[in-house]
Amino acid sequence: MTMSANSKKSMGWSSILILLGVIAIYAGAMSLIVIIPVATLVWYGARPVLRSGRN
Amino acid sequence: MSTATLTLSNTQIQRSPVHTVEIYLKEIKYEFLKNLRLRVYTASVLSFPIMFYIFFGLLMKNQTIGATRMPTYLIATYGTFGIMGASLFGTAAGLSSDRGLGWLQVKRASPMPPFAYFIAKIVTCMVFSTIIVLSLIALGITLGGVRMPVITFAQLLGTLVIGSLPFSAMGLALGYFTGPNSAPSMINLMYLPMSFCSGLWVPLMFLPKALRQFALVLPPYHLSQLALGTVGAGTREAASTHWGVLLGFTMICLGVARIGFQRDQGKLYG
Repeated sequence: MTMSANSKKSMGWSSILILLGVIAIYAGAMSLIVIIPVATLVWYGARPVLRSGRN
Repeated sequence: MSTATLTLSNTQIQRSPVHTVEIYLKEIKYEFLKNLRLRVYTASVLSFPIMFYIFFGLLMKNQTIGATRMPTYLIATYGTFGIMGASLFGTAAGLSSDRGLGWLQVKRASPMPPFAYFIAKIVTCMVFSTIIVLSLIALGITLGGVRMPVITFAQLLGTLVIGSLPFSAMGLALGYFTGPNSAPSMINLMYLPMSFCSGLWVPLMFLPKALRQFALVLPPYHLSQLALGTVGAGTREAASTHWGVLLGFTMICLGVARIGFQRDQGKLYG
C-alpha cells in the first residue's frame, strides 16, 4: 500500500506516542511529569491528516 | 459555449463553540440511545458483573478476604470487570461494525467534527460504567450489608469511571484492527483471560504464583488495585504507580488506534 507523505508523518508521530506509553509504564510515576506534556504535544503532532485540496 | 468550473474550497467550517458543544452532545445522546436499544449489549454488559456479584458477593457475604468483607471487596473487582466489558464492547464492537458498514464514510461527508464520533463512544462507555458500578453499590448496600462513608463510594465510582478510559482506548485500537465479524470473539479472547489473570474473578491471593507475577503487567490488575485501595483492601503499591501504568497503556492504545485510523484513511482516500 502506498502512503502519502502526510500519512507517513502521522504514523511516525503515533509510533512515538506508543514509545512514550512504554516509557510511562517502565519509568515510574515521577516520569509522568515529563511524559504527560510531551505526549500531549505528540498527540497534536500525530493529528490524523486527511487528504484535501486536491481539486 | 461556456464551460463551468467547480472549485472545492479547503476552508474549515466556521461554527460557534456553543454550536460545536451542541453537536457533541447530540452525538453522545444518540450513541447512548443506540447502545441502550441494543439489547444484547445492554443485557450482557449489565448482567454479567451483577450476576457474578450475586453468586459470589451476596451468597458468600459472610466470608472475608484479608480484613475486607466479601461484598465490599467484590464491588471493586466486579466493578472493574463490568467497566472493562462496557468499554471494550461499546467501542471495539461498535467501531468495527461501523467501519464494516461504511458508516464512517457517511459521517465524514457530514459537517460533524470527526472527533465527536470518538468522544461520543467514550462518554457512552463512561455512562454505562457508571450504571454498572452504581448497580453493584446498590446491591451491596441493600443485600450485602456494605457500609462505607459516602465519600468512599464516590471515590470508588470516580476511580472506576475514569478507569474506563484506558479500556475505551484499547477498544478503539481493537476496533481499527478487527473486522465486524471477528471483533466480538477477539474482544472475548482478550477480555476474559485478562480479567481472570488480573484477579477480578478470583482474588489474586488464591491464584498460582506465576499468574500473580503475570498480573503485574495487566492493566485491569492496576485498576482493580486502585479500586480496592479506596475500600481499604489494596496492596502496598503506591496509587501513582497504578495510574502511571494505566496512562502508559492508554497512550499505547491511542497510538495504535491512530495508526489504524490513518491506515483506513489511506485505503479509502489514497
